[in-house]
Amino acid sequence: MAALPRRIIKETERLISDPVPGITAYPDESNLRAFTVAMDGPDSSPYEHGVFDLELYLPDDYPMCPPKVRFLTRIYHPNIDKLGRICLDVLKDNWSPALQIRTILLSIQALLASPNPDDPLANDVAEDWKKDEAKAIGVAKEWTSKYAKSHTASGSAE
Amino acid sequence: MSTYEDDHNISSSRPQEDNERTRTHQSLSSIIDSFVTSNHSHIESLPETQESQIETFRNALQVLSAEEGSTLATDLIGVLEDQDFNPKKGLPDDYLDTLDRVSLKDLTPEDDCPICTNRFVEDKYPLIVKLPCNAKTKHRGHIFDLECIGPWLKMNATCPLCRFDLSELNQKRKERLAEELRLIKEQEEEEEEEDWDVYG
Amino acid sequence: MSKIPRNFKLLEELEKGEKGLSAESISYGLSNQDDITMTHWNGTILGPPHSTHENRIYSLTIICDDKYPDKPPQVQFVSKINLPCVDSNGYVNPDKFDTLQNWKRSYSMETVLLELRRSMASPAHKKLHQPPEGSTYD
Repeated sequence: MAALPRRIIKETERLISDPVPGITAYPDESNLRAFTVAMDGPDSSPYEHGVFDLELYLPDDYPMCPPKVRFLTRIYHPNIDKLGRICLDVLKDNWSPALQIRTILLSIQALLASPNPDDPLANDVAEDWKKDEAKAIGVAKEWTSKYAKSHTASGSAE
Repeated sequence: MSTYEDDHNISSSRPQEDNERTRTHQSLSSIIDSFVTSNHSHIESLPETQESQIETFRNALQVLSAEEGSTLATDLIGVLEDQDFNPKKGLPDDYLDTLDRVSLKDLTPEDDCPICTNRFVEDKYPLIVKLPCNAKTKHRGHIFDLECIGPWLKMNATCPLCRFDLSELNQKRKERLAEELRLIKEQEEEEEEEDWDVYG
Repeated sequence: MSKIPRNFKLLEELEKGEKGLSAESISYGLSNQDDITMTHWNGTILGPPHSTHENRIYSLTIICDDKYPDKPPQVQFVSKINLPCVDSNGYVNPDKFDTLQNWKRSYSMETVLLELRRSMASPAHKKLHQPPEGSTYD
């Protein structure tokens, strides 16, 4: 396996030494381009008090192409599909090599705080959201307490 | 006695040929379908897929044009060559040569390349360039290692920091060239005009 | 080349299948759209022309367990077929099917389906007598 680019090493070190508030990201021991992420649901959002697991992978072309990220925890959100795939511009056409893992994770957390049902990832959640927002938010809260439980008091896995 | 195959200078492996023909047609119709139904406003969003799709489409058209003599196919190939359908978003290789170089003298020790995140001074022989993105920085443009910005600009025509579209100036240069070529072609066509009366 | 993790490889395969970018003679997709583990898949193979499989559509199930793609998937025909590498329950026997036996990480479900189709069309197999069309193993 090719050596890890210095930028990835630096990003990883900083993620651990100076983590983004409410987000932890650790590289997998067997693959330093793969990260396990835990993200707190933003305050005063339907995802508040939830802890969501994500997985992130830096492809060979990173940072010329964006990281690949998906939710592992089930989440009711108009821009996230049943398989946890995320519809977010900076993960696709609006990627820039000046963005980093931490900025991407912050963008995802911001997406949780402000769902965008007008730019959905072909799913029926966006329909529900537009039809009856209050009801949809209710379902999102329900799912959060059902699936996105804090792992332990300290909030970290294992 | 010369056979049909001999006359047309094609191989005589009939079964295989038939098979390939049918498949070409099948795939062509489905490719045209997907090409026509796909939303062109999304060309930018699917660079690789769109590109390969267009490539397949082009290949299919070339078969039609060469083997069946279809003028429609030939015309369509022409349309594909048109800028509007060219999904390549990047800048040509020689674009990098047009970028202004920045000397280490003009930078502070803290300045780093936004792509590799390394400080410019850490590099013994740095090749640093400035993009003409008119950013409101002291250099009036964002600064990168040539080595880092090169691969990005090959695939994208934007500044990674401010998303300024660098293709416009380049596009204008190209348009000027195209206009000149068109004029030359027009002159040539005028000479042939008598033979082409049918086409008005 | 770094090793793409299982889930992201399967997502790539899924996207290729969803966007119809894979070969036309085969198709595949998740059995259950909610399956976040992406373990159970359905596949189809369009019988190759000029063979006893012509115009038939074969259904298969594919299981990508957590060892995938380091280890090959488990492949089973749902539609009955007479092919040496397929056992009496429809399972593709890895010992008799080179793509599974000499599995590479770069292979995909598309590779498996296309290679099975190639085997069906091979001179040695294309004339094999086939069970009635539409019959299944269960």
